[in-house]
Amino acid sequence: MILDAKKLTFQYGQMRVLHEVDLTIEPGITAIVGPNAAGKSTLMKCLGGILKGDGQVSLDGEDIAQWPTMQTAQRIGYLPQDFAPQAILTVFETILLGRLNTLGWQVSDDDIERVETMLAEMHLEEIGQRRLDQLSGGQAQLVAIAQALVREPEVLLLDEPTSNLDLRRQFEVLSFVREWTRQKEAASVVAIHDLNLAARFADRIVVMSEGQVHSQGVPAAVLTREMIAEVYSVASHVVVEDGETYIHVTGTLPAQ
Amino acid sequence: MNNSADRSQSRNAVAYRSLSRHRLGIVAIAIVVLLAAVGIDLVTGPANLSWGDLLTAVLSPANADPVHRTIVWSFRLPSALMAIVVGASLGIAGAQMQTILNNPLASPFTLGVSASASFGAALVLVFGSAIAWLPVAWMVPISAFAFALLSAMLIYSLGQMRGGATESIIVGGVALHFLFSAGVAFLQFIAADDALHAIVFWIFGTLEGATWQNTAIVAAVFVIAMVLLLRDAWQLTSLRLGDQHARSLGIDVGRIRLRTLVLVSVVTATAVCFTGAIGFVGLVAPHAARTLVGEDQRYFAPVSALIGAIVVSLAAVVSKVLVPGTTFPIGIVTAALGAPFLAAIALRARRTYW
Repeated sequence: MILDAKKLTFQYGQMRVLHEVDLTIEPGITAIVGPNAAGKSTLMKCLGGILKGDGQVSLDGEDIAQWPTMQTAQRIGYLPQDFAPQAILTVFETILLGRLNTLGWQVSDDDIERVETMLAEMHLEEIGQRRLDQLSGGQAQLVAIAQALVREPEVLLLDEPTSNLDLRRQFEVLSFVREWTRQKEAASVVAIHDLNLAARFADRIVVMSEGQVHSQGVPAAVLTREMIAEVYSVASHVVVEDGETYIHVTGTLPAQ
Repeated sequence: MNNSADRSQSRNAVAYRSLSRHRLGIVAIAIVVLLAAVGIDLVTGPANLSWGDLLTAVLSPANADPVHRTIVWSFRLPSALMAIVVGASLGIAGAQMQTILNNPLASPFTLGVSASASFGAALVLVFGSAIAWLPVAWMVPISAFAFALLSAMLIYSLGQMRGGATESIIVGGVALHFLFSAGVAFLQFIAADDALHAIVFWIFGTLEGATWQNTAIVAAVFVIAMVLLLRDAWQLTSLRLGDQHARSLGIDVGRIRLRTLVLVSVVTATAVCFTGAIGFVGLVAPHAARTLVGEDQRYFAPVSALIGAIVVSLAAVVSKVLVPGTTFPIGIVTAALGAPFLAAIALRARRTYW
């Protein structure tokens, strides 16, 4: 399973957000990091087939632009940033909608069973019958991830899945994603701000800056003091201990 | 540990299945209530028919008193059936406008579709004699239909100019509502007395013009639209998760929004062109349906239609008994019943939805 972007360019009106991005996503967790407005979200949307720019995105050699949107959604589970819907739907019903592709007028036992399994795997059984508007931000986030996973995608794209979560929930969500990714031998792409979380959970890191790939590779190779100074304009100490990379921000630098 | 996990898993599936049965039960109850409301509607009227007279006239017309037969078959049945199909049309139109625009205040009335239909009707009522090639009785609904459809398309294009943002569709609709209301007021100002009376009656809405023919037209349009909407039930349900999310599920959001808007515009235009602007039904029915069955469209859409039908049928009864001897305009009744009902829902359930 390989998700491949070639010369991906995207602009909103006159504003170019992505510029000839070449990127290969392999099984495992890839974290996409970079400052605000670096093009992370747009890149995620292009990879998920939500936005169509110039260039090509292909999954195992097949150009995803040629697929019907339902097929793209089935094979590449893209999860947008914010999820705070006001719909009068239960958690169970919401996750069920993730199986839109197979849902018939009568909900099949198979679909119900898969939702059940998903609830159990993500420890959401307790809130299965709760309504969406009664969930905390963290719970809603988990429900959204469950909805993306229940259609059993080959690639999972999560746009800032941890931004609304407390420390413990951030850790839990990313642990779950890592476990799922390893178990299914799938690929997960996570756009994330927190470099320490990225270092801890990602197999590879892609640094985006001004619509282009600045650098990519294993965390220890990419997350350097120099990169952080150049891309984020902050001063930092980067410590590598027992194979783990830790970043301490010590101050700001003049913007470049 | 494993045992409790097994129990919890089945617990959610069991709860989901029982929720589905509960909702089916509500659909059944709504059908029974509707039948009762229609029965009361049929038996109510100035001719003082008894239930026995009514049943005889409906079930074995050959044995019925010819006067009763005429009253029931020429007046009561068409207007009772019209109450059902108009109510159902407004209910489903309001429900889907609220769904695709993601706004609890969307309805045929608030988005100006009813006002523009009124304008179309008033235009013919005032200048009707100038257009001699068709009888006014036909020109009124045709013009009302055309204007209703035109305004719906206008609202949509206004929204498209701003990239399809639902907020601009709502604001555009409210603007159209005021624009066409002003137009109707102007026509009233210049109208002769008899035309003025006809306009006022039309604006309030009335079931008195119901015939088998126009009832059948409204019914046919409603049924076709309902079938098409139910085919999209899951996609429409998903739309309520937000555009971004719906898109991530593989839904072509723009296309389903346009398709649904066209469908509900035709449904609304057809309903209001024969009966006038019966307000508040399209706003209230979906809110009530939402509290009863949630937003799974397989239940939400039919229950919105059923409640719309119930509300208009009951309003028809009230309009007949309110002032003995005359039929009060039904639009006044629906507005008078609907407004406090809506206020009550809004105050009671602010936290629970929208």
